[in-house]
Amino acid sequence: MYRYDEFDAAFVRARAAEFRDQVARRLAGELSEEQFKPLRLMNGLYLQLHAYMLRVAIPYGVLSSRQLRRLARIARVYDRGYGHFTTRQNIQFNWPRLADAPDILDELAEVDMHAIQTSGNCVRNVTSDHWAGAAPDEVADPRVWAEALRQWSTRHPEFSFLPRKFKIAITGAAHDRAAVQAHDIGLHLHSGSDGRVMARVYVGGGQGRTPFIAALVRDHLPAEEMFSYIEAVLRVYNRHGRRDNIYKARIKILVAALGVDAFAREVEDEFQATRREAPGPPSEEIERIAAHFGPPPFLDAPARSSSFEQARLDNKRFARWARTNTHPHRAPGYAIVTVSLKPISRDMAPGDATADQMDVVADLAQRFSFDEARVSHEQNLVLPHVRLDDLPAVWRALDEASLATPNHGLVSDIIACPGLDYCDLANARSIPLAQAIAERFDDLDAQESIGELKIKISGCINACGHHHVGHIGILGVDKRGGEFYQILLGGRADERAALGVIAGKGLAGEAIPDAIERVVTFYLGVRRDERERFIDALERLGPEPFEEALYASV
Amino acid sequence: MWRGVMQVLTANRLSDGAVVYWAGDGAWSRRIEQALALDAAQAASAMAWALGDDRVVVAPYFVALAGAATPDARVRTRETLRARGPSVRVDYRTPAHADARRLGAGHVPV
Amino acid sequence: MRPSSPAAPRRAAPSTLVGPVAPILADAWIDLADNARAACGHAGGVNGADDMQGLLPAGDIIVELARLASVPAERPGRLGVRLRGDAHLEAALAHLPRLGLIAVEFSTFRDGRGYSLARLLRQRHGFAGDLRAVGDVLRDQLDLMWRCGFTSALLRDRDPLAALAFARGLHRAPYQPGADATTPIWTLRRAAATRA
Repeated sequence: MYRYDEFDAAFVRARAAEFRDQVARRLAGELSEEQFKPLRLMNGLYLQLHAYMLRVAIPYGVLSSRQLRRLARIARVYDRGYGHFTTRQNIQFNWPRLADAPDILDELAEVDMHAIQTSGNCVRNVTSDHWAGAAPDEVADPRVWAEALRQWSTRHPEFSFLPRKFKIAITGAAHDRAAVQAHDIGLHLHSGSDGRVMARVYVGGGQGRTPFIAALVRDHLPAEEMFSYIEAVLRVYNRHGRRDNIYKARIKILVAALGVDAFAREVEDEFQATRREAPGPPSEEIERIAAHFGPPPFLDAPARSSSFEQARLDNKRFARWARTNTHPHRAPGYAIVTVSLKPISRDMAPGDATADQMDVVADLAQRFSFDEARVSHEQNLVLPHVRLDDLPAVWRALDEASLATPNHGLVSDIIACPGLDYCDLANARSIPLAQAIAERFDDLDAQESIGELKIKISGCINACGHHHVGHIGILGVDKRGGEFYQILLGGRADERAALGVIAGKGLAGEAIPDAIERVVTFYLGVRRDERERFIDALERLGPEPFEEALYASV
Repeated sequence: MWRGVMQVLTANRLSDGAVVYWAGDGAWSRRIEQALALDAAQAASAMAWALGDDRVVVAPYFVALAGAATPDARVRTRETLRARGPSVRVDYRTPAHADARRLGAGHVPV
Repeated sequence: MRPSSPAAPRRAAPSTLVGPVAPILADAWIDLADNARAACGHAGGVNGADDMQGLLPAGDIIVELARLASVPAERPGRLGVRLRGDAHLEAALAHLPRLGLIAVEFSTFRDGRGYSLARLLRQRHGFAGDLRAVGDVLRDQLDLMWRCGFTSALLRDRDPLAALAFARGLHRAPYQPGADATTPIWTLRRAAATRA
């Protein structure tokens, strides 16, 4: 994985020192809150419902064990012993003191981390496939380009005050696990005819109040030209995006207003100039970064492991977990492991991990996964490179730490934003609802037989919980009389991205688990066989019968 | 006992972001039980105090008390959570064991 | 969302003309396009008049983009133009050779359009005169402005010297190239690798 050199380290240290000075000036009364607020936001420090919240970037979701241990330490020393992993592959600490924020940034800088550009109208943390470098269907490693983009976009002189925030996602595999078409720019790497890495470029996706699936504007862009191309997109957006209405300021609105073709032509004209004026990092810089992402020294292992097979026969719980939470790896004899942060429990929020749990995963990453862990946009952790022989030991350690819930991709693997429990913007709570739904389906056999079903919950229209692209999406709405939720059906975030459609009137929170259970029961009754997933059946039959099932007894 | 537009003034403490309530005479309390119920004139002078020295608190605003022009459900839920801490698990809650009944909120179940 | 509370009044800081290194003490430019000045009566009537040749003061003047064409070519003194963020850049390009200064207006510090205008003027259209940031210019943005090709800024700050020192301290080496001569990290790395 990428390690900072002297230049990266100096940059982040300087930024932390600058913020220390700003905090000191604020606490001494030399800066007013009005002057200080944009400065703290530039360092990821928000004021939320209960306290400050610090959002730390985890670039493209990649963490070393040392970094993960440091996050655990920050949770323990400066917070209340836990952190929240987000759909943006970031981590949020919910209770930091302002006076401690400079120390936290210093601690992060020591392990090549920062909170830069986790807020504000700039290019945010570039997200990517959490299975990068491990997935069998990968064509090109997206991390190389994601890191180059991280550097390119860091304190970009022209694009630090865009009309609105800007999110870039990149994947390099056939199956899109990074939801790239739900981003302002989505990059899907593929292999050109001559073996060069090419990028398919999508622009104008996004959720929020006015959701759009991104439009394809370029099918075959040589990857090394993505910087000039993105510069062209951002310049067109920066000059012409709306600034008069916060709800119409995202690039998706500009693309829709101009029309995709006209927008693409304008970008293309600009690109012909930017490729000369702003050519992006030199090829040796890309090679230097790529050298950090070479494959780890995999052992020459047989594709099958007899000890793994035996353990599956001996232990049903292990066998179930291996079925749901381990995935094929590109290297023979290895597996990708999903570490579930979705226990079926009222004690933990989806995406939360305690400091102790982070330490457990860090230890496992160090011992069994070439020192690497990942954060997925689905709010789980990943051990990307585990030998089949080691799976039983990894499972035992995870199980002991309540991190082995066998529910990857299943009905209880719910994405949920922090909601009104923490968030200053929310209309309704998300976390207790996710917990209630997960509890309703606590029978693991039933979950497995239901199969893949992605439920995504947002506490407000800002859609941090990705409700527009959930197979079942749930949105907290502002309504008299209590917490109400709208249900959406049929969204998906993969390479066939689609927006869910609103299914009738909102329901009270108490009624939601029943409604979800009814629609799932309906699906089980109509599916052709066990291979037909919920989303497949919904697309085959259309949403209407599913909507009827949702509201059957209401 | 709350008549008309009685309200409390709340804010976040600058140093640590903690939720606080105006307790009168320049004092802020972590506990909503100690919040001073304010009529219009008292409210204006409390807000002036809060804005006058932004080294102590930030983002002050008023919350109507139960029985006053009742806030809508979302505001009630929000302010209850703000007074008590997240409903997610007991040990996340605000240590002050805040009693949010004054906001007119009962149990907030899902 | 947090219910709004009365905001403290924005403290108006005086403006000081600065360059990347020091305040600019001698500035001959008269900004006839500055609405604030116009409102104070310094350049009354100029903005509204179509045939304004007779009203133009002597010396170096900055006018609105829409007035540019009506300024006679033979007029003594240098000519500058003030561009708003939404300016139609192409309309200014025809006049570029006669312009000694372009003032780019930032309506608020959040309005980032001026950065794009600056880079286009410098890097694409070869403007070589003074490029000046005016409007809501904060010390935290000066380094970005210099890197986009601005050479002066009308800074709103109570302590301009401290502001300049602060801006100089921001990220001496940026990652990416801009419109100025700062060597980006990408290039420094190559140099470091060659030395090693």
